[in-house]
Amino acid sequence: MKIDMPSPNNNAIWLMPGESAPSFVLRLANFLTVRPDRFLRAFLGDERMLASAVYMHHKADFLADASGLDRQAASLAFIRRSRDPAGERTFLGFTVAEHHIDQSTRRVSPVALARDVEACLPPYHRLAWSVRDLKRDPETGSPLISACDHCGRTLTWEDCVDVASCGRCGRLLCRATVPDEPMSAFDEFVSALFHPDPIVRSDRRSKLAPVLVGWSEGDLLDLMSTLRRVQRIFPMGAGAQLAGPEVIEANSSISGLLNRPLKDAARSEDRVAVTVAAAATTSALMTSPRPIAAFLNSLLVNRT
Amino acid sequence: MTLSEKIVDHIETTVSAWEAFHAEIILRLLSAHFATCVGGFLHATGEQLATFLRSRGNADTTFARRLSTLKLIFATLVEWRMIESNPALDVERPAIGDKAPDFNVSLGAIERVISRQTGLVERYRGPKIHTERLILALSHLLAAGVFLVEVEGLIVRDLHSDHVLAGRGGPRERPVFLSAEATGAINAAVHSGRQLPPAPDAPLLVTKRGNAPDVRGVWKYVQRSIDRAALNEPGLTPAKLHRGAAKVVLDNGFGWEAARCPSAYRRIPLSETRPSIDEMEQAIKRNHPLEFG
Repeated sequence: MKIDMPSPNNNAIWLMPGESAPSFVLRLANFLTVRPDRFLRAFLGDERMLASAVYMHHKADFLADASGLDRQAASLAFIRRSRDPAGERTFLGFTVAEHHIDQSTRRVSPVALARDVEACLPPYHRLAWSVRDLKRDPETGSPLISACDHCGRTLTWEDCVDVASCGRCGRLLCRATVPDEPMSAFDEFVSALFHPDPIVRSDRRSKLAPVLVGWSEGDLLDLMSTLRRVQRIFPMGAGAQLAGPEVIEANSSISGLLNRPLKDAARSEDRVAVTVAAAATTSALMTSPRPIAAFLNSLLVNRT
Repeated sequence: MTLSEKIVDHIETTVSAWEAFHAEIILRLLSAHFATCVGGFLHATGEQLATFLRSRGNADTTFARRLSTLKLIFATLVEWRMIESNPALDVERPAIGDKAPDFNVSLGAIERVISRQTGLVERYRGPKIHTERLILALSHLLAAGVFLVEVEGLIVRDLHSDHVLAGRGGPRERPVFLSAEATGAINAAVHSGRQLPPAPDAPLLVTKRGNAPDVRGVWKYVQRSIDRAALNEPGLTPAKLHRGAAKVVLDNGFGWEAARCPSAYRRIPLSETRPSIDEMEQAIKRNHPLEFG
């Protein structure tokens, strides 16, 4: 799909690539009127509900009329509900589940915002930053922050008047200091899954176990989450690292991680250890969504 | 098509296949019970139905279950205007609300039963060795979480290197994982008493007569090993041996969500160890301190 690219020093309001609806609505409100709260109230019903704007796909026409964008372009700012299966959400070609989206805080990447300012573009909030498991901006690899480095307050949508500043102290978030932590393999994997460049995404997916290559982003996150849950129940030792994305690069490694507690229990002298290990593992699998549980169960037992 | 078949079909289409399954059983029993009466069960009174339900020495839970099915059967006959009123409505349902399965199983006692039977199998070399191996295999299967009623349906193909697939094809189909010791004992029982390796669809365990043991048979065999263990504390039954699988998971700190897995309990059973109000209050204070401000 062709996206209208903004040009520097253009006064028109454009939907930036990958921009979220709350960010666009806020910029539009500030651009169109000196009383942005009235515009927000007309769009949202209550101006404090800015966070939920990502789900208001039915208001795409309103947004298109107000901004002059065509409806198709305006609808890119929203997270849409799939009819089947229930609970599935899609945005910008990504498919996740409802529980993967977290709008309770406003997470931003200071580095990405600073780059926007340098490029004479309006700093904006990316839709992908709403994904709960994403800890880094997919494009720049810089950390996402959810609290102001100046006043320490959690960044929320409720008090937001400008996506590039703190709602409480007004601190410009493009100048905020970011924690200097090395990027974990898991963060790198999640960032690659949601990278705006399809080549980067397909390159990362090609390393996965063949059966997982076509899985949606949400299912892959759930798979990793379930495997880590199993690993937490039966840790390999004190301070052991949680499973990284390399685990899902082959069926054998997934199976190995799942079956390790059972094999360890079978080797022990305790007769009931197998029952305990199997029950705990099965219980952990049952908490994951049905397709993931079915896939992992098939690796856990050989049902021939 | 007989009247009974029509009723079963009607219940299957209007209620469920599960209810129809029960209705078929009850209709057979009803036909046999009222065979000497004129008009069969069609003219049964509430009192006669109560006598029918009690005549088989059923537990209160079975009585209540069958009464529920009887109500459906006679409601169908009322709907078809074959009788004027539903006599099953006059039968008083027994109170069963306070009957909870007892999960207070002594794991030490289970261990003793199995280790004693293992010792017996290792030492004994007489003509009844196959039966002793069968008893040991049954004890291992029950202690791992297999229901007594599921043993008869197990086939050779269900046994894998580290688990047995219990409840094949049913709503409780699940892998029941076994220790190396249990797998070895079950394998020995499978091949004992058979001259040729069994076919994949043959019963997993057979008695010396070549039949798969039914529920009563399983109970009888396992009860024998419990009696032999000469336990000091009374109360261990084959059914409680089976509940030991859930108990061991609970005792290891996992909750009911995990404990229901070995036997695929569909709901969390009532247990005698329900927390008191004080314990629940303490738990809320511990986990949600702000609630008490």
